[in-house]
Amino acid sequence: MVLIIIPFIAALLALVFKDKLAKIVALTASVAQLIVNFIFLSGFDVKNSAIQYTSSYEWFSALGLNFSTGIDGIAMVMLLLTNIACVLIILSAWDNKYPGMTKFLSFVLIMQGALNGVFLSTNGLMFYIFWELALIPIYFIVGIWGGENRIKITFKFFIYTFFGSLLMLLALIFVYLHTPGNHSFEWSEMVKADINGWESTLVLWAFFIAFAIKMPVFPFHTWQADTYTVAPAQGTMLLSGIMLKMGIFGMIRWMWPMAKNACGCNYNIFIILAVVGIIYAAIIAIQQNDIKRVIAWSSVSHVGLIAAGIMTWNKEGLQGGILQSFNHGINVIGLFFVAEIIERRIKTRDLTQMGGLAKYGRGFAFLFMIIMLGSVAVPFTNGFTGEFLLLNATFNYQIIIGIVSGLTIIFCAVYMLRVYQLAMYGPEKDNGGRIGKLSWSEYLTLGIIVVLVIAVGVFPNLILNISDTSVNNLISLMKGGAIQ
Amino acid sequence: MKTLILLFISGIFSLFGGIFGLKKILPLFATIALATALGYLFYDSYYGPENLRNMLIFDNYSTFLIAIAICSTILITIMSVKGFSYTDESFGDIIGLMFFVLCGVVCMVSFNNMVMLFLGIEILSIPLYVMVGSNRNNLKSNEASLKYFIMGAFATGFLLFGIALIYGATRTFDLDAIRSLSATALESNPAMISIGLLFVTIAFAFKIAAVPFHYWSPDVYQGSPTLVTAFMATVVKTAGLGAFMKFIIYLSPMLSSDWYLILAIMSAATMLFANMVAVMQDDFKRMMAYSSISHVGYVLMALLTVNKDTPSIVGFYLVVYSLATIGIFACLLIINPNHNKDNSLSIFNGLGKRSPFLALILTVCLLSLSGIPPFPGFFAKYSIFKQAISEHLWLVVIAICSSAISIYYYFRAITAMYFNKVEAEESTELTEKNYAGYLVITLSLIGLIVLAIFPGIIGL
Repeated sequence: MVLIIIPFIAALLALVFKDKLAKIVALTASVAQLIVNFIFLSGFDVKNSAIQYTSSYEWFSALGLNFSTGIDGIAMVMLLLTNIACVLIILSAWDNKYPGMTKFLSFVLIMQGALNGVFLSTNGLMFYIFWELALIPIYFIVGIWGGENRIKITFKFFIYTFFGSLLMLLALIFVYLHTPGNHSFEWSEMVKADINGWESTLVLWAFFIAFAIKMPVFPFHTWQADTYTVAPAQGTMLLSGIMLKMGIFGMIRWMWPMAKNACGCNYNIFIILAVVGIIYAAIIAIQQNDIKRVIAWSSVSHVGLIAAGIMTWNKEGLQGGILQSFNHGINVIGLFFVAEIIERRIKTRDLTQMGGLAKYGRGFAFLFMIIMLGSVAVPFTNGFTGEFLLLNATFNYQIIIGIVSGLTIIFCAVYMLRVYQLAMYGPEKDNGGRIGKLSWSEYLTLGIIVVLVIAVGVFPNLILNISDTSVNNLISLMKGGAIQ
Repeated sequence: MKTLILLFISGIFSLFGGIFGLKKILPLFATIALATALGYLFYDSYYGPENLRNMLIFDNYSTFLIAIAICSTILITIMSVKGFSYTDESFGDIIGLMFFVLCGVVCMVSFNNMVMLFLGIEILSIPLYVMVGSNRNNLKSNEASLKYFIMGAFATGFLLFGIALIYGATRTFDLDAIRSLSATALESNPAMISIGLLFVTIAFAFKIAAVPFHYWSPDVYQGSPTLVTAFMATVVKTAGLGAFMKFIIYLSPMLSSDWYLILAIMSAATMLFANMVAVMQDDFKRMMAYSSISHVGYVLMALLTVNKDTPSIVGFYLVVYSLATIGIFACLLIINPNHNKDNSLSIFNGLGKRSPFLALILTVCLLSLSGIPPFPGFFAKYSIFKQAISEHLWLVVIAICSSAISIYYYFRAITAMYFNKVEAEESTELTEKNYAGYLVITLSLIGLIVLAIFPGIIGL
């Protein structure tokens, strides 16, 4: 509850102040939010599988809409990611001089509040409301501060995702009407809904399409690369770092338990789609010349692996998916920030225009290297532990799928190292751009990311422990269902 | 009853006020009169339903609908302080006619006798024909008036014919009697009843502009003065849908499954067609006309399942819809007060910079109409979906698809406000301060916010 309110109040506050002050207010608010989140974490009982910190207020009882919030292990990881990421995102905007900075920051904070709401809600309708609410600020962020062609692209993005959400709404209502007794949108009641046969399959597909659009899973990814590219750096970070985790979270928390009686064969289709996405996106990523596009496509590829791992619905897959969601969020924010720093200095994102940047930016090169290695999943970085669990899960599920998805590591190394090589090494191009010194906010942002990359890489249990019991609980909840 | 009398007297007074040069105080007078009427309305309903010789019955249901209509009219009257400056000479007439329309609304939504229904619709329509044409020097306004009149006359014909057929089968105009006789009448005269019902339905469909009887609506909305458009889109729609709902609720024993199927198809066609055509409009008022047609489709969907919740669901929808629509038209009036420009979407270009407050309110209203949570339009649409989903899943799917389509055109306006570059000629600041307009949009914003936070406060 507190976690939702702080950002909204801060968003209003930030509007009052002018540029510099607004930044300070926004940063303070997001740090405060993070501290509150840590307080919740310190009081969080990781051994308890139940949803904790529950509270419920009536909102519109005639519709079954309650303001119910609660945190379980999975939500806690997502909340941590959201609130850490928002601090990073606001920090990363410190050196940007957008026109209407206050509005921009206030949109970011609204977004943060809505995302927290998505992860906190234990009421289906409330989940949907926050899910949609998160869409509005990002629409404006991309539309107002975006690059070329932004109007068309934001339109496509918005209509695409809105259509998916409407399908989700349909599925939610459908499940609601099958809940026992007096219908209820509470998660604990919706899980008990009695849906069988083809109806269950329909619900599953409706949820899947909604979440797959958000993540995005192949073939629902067509909005993504363009949107990521035109969005301002912070918008891209919000989209890729946090917003797509809404889809992953939705799959674990809502789709799977609601459609538990659906035929497991559907998941075969989903996993195959996800794996196709991994390879397809990786191959495209190798050929891109725009840094942001490379990262965008790499994101599709990574998310494909997460989706495939989760949809095996065994413990390694789920745990790996949750861990990797966290890692991917941090890494991708780091990568996009690197792209932004380069763009700030040499005014282009075209790889063919870059070269030798490492020469006058050693610190930057070092930090970039670590973040990149994290993304490639080198041991002792965070990507490794996550991807290892995910690959393990896919191997256990089906050897061939495991092998194919294992290719992701190779592909990832290819396109990431290519970016690094073209940008940082080789002869200097004579367009006059040099990295030079980083500002303190740039150092701080990259520094925090690098620390997180290594810390989670060495001690993955920091994250895994939080979600462990909840994942066990979810799996035991599903036992007896048709899913193997 | 007191409400009806008060409205009528105020109407006559306004007409005279217009003649004797009291135009300045007329909006104030009208607002006070309307507020008093509203007070009387609630005062009367406090003592339970009032039955006027079985002709009119003022129950909770009609009280609520009349209240929506009166509140909308109050907002529109406040707007009229600046809104009608270009038709100064006929200002008193317009206010007076507005009161007469309200009299019609009162009769329509509280009718308990088919004759009163007919009278109500006529009392409502005839002043409207004049109001639509009130911008005498504008060719479009004249065209709209004539078009509306001819279409309205057709609808009246259908209505009368339908009522006569129902009378022929049941030998009474009284709703209760028709209802109790429905079983025997259906047995002895099934054809007369079903054709009669169909004709009345067509007449209603004309009035509320449901597809395929909507063709007059965009032209009329575009041609009328903005204030009259707002009035038609809110008060008249409320009255038409309210009366139709009452008709369906009372005569539900007579309505066959075929009739419901017709209504369902009409609803689906209305939603899909209106939303698709709205996408192609460049004129904002035409777009809003199609948007309001599409909202009729959603309400028709709610009318398919009649149970005890239906009136409050429809009521809530109408409140939200009216608030948002009035907000939008008020913004339009502030931006383009004297109709000196055409109302193409480009008048919104760069509004986010020129007047952030206006842009904010317009955005909230548009988002509310498009049904995006957490704006109240979502709750309204959602209640309808929820009610319809168990019996008409296919219709809900169509509604959802058409909602997705509607996003496109609502967001065109939002895009224009925030993303489009301002061209030099349009970058003029909004010079004239229209405080009354600002008051109206603030009120509708407050209303929408309250409904978003406490959507439960409206219930019958």
